[in-house]
Amino acid sequence: MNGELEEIREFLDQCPDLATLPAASRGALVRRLTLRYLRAGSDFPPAAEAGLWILRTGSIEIRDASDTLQDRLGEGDTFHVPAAPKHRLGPVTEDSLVYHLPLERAEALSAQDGAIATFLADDAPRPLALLHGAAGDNTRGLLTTPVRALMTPDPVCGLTTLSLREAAQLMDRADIAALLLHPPERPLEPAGILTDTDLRRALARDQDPQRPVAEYMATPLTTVTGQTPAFEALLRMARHDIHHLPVVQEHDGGLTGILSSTDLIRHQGTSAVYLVRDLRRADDLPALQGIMQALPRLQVQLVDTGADAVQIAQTLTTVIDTLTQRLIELYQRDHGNAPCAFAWLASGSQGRHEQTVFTDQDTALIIADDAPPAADAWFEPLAQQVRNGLDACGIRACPGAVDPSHRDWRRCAADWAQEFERVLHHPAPRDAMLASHYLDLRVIHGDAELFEPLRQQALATGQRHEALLSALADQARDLPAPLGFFRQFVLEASGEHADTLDLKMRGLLPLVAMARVFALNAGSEARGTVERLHAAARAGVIHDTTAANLVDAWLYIAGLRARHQAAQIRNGQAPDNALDPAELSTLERNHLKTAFRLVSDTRKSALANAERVHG
Amino acid sequence: MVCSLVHADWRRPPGHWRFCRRRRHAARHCPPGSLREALAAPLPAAGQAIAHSRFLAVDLETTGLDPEHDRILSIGWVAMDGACIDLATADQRLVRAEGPVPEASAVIHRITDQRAASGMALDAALEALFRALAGRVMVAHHAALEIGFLEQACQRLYGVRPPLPIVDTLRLAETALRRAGQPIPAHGLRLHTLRARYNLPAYRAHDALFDAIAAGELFAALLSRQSPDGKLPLGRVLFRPAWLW
Repeated sequence: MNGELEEIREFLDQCPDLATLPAASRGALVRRLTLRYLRAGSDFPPAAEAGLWILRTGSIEIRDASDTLQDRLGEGDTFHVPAAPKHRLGPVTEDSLVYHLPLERAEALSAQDGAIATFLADDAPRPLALLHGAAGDNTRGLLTTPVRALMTPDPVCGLTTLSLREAAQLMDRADIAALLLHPPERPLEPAGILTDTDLRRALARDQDPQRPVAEYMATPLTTVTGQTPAFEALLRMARHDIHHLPVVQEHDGGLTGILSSTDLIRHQGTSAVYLVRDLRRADDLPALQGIMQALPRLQVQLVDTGADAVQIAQTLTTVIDTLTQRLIELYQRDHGNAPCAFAWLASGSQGRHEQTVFTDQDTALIIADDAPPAADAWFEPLAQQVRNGLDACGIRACPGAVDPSHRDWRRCAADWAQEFERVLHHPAPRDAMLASHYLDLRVIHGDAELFEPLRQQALATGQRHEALLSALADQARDLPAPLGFFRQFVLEASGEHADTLDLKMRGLLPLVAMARVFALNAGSEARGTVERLHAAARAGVIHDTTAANLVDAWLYIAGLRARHQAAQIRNGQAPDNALDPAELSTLERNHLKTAFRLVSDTRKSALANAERVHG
Repeated sequence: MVCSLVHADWRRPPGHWRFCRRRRHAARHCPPGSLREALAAPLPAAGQAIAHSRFLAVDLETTGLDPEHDRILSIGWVAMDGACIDLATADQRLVRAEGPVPEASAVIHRITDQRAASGMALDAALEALFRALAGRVMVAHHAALEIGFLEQACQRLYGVRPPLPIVDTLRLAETALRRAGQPIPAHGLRLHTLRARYNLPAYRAHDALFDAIAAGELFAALLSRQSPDGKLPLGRVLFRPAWLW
């Protein structure tokens, strides 16, 4: 019987750098390690030995040839020395117990185990890659389940030539709430859908039951395929305020099933759909306020079902978009239609589809150039009412006043074009903040055509104007460092959140700012940070591994923030971005450090590259 | 070279010849097996540098502290080359108990009657231990206990009391602390207290294997102070009584 070295394997499981290895490979490592005790003040590596070093306790500094501090290894850190170094790499600063995989054992193990070979060969591993996979494994939540698994197959269909009464009878017999309708000659290509609501409306309006159903059905159809993740179907339902989606085949559009919101609910609670529906139907501000009280619960629910950070943010943004749209509609109802065309835009986290329950307003308004002279008398109260309405519903009025109740954010189209020209083409250093707001703008209500020329203008800027790129790169560099000199977390020094870690300021904003520079350089109009990073990698602005690492870091930090806020909501506290590192397990702390390290390392290297116009 | 003689006095303690003779005698009189081979293997020279010496850190879990009446429950060991511990050699054997495990020791080792019954016969466990020990010097914390139990077991099974060279980390630590002029608090020489002093991790497991690793690590920590370059002669760290028997 061989002795159990379980405790050492558990320690290796906690090492952030080894997290990319499959568990079996970490297990294989254990029995090949040797143990050394390095006294403070001795040289590392001892006897200039190559191999993989893993720190169990203590602390070691890594210095370059000019004796500049490069890194400081602490408990759980690993350091790979691929070949015997000619001189010492640094001093041992505290008595250390280290595990060592000697070179010859590393080579032998690499020959048997591909994962170890890649790990030891790869200069740029993805330390956080497995975390997201692991989260997906144990939840099997809405994010991974394909629509196929939830839909009702072979739905009942009727002909478009049926009468209303016949359709109602058919639905009654089959006990269904929605009937797909297809033309007589094409049975697998539904043209519309008739729901209980449509029947109710027809009955209420005293319609003749003999009239053809084609006049009442909803058309054209919004569809999904069987491979669509259920989560995306949910978002589509929420965005279109519908409760049934026909499921079609990807290759020929042939009907295979129908997905209802009830199917999703059966899988797990999906209050997002209902929240959006209720918002659309709310008649006044108090009603909207009442509905928005469910928003924190929605975030808790999404966290519990294992949705990732992108999905949570998209869902919450969809809800807040709807709230904004409804506030504008209510204003129009009370004050009559707008005197001219306009577009309501969101910037900041809303523009990027990255909101959480703890968020503030960043909005802008474009008014058509043909506005009559007194038009502003209609628009200014609109801006104020929407701002106050959002504020009353828990979306704080922006402290930096990015909202159209200020003239700067409420301009006519020609004025905006000039402003874009000024800020994007000839940015003064203090304009970087404005520019980053402009680049995150997205239309959420009104006439999207008004924004189109501005969008084109912004898109082209990155390809031509280095000034903007370097202004934005500077801005990204000037954000506070995520980690301190000794790779410790930098905690807030004072104020309400003293001794906590600002996840947004230290972790997410530097990433957002970097991604914006990369995307601008790539000429991509993506607004979400994750999309921007992918787009930049596709365009070759950053390396694929860099992009993948930053996406991992974003997902990890934003996911941690979502979980932190969900825990606060559950405890009846107000959600915020201030995390007490003591809340974290050692493992989480290590992962977070790794994520922060990825951010600061990339910030140094990749930004310098990306602020040049390529080709 | 069976035993080496060198000139300096501390390298040739008074009982050295007798110790070697007794080893040869024990080797002749014990039945063939790994114990005989271990005893017949050459003793390392007392002047050999620690860095080139080979050790085996050993820990026994027992039902009590009295070798006459208490029994061995499990044996754990791990080999060391100089001050470097090799986890590939880490191993332990559970010994089948011949009677009930006293409650007090079951609490400490978490070895219950049921688990003890699933172990192997004592002589098979010792066979494996001595195979690992051949050519190596034993390292243990509070070595007198390990020596006492091993001698008693060998006497009963093989009819000999094997003279084994051994390093006692408790004595080494005590000497180091006294030399540094540091007071030694009550329980200050316990393995876990000493480990904390040298910034070694606290292991949750208290089985023979992890206690053997723990003793080995403490030995490495002590050596890093007493002899950072590893040139200290082996004779300087040996448990002296071993040479005097």
